[in-house]
Amino acid sequence: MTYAVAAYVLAALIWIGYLVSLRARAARLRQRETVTRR
Amino acid sequence: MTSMPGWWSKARPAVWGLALVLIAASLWAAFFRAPIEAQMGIVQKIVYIHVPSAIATLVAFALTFGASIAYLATRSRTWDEIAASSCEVGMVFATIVLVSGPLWARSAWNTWWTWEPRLTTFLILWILYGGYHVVRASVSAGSRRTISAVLGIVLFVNLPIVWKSVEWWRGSLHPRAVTMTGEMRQALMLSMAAWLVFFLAVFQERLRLERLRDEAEAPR
Repeated sequence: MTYAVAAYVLAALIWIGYLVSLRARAARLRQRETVTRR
Repeated sequence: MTSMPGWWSKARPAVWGLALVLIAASLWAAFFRAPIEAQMGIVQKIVYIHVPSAIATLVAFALTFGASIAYLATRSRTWDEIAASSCEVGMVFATIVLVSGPLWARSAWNTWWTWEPRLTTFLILWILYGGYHVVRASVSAGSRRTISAVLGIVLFVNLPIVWKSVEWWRGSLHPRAVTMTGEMRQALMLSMAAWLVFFLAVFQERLRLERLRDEAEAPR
């Protein structure tokens, strides 16, 4: 039971981490774009 | 192809919605509908995330291969963006395969890791596609797309090797074929559909990021 739950929890954490990193990278690029335009 | 068609952006919320509904349904089917496997017990439930993630990895890298060929043929930056985005999302799926596999192996084979053909070839695949991103981040902007495309084509050689490894080499602990009950098979099919739609949703997000990066780096 522990291993099965651990597999799903770790997969969820990996996806959450990756999606957060995507948002952060997009926000940084948008910010850089705004600064460049000024 | 200079940019993605209009329906592509419009479909984003629908794809995310469908992915989340399918994932919820697949988790329900895996844990509450499919029976507990007689020999392995509840740890066999890992199959419903391990196998779909492996299939999504192969689909992602196959898309990288196709888009890399299209880039070299057309020199359209959209194909390069598709190849790089698909490759990165494929890497995340491959990481999940490598994380969930040992958890299953510990219970089924009494070891976290063994150098059997499927595990070894998949680890090599993960390292080489990781190298794709290292190279892409290292080379100059002028040659980045061409070098990435060549790598995206060359690395594809690994996919049939991983797929056929259980047949080509002896000593494989991965089974060539698996017998499942009807409900187990249905849950696995639903999980595959769910994670492939989820791949599409994440791929769309990653593609938007790649487009943003290209626009930020474009000469003004």
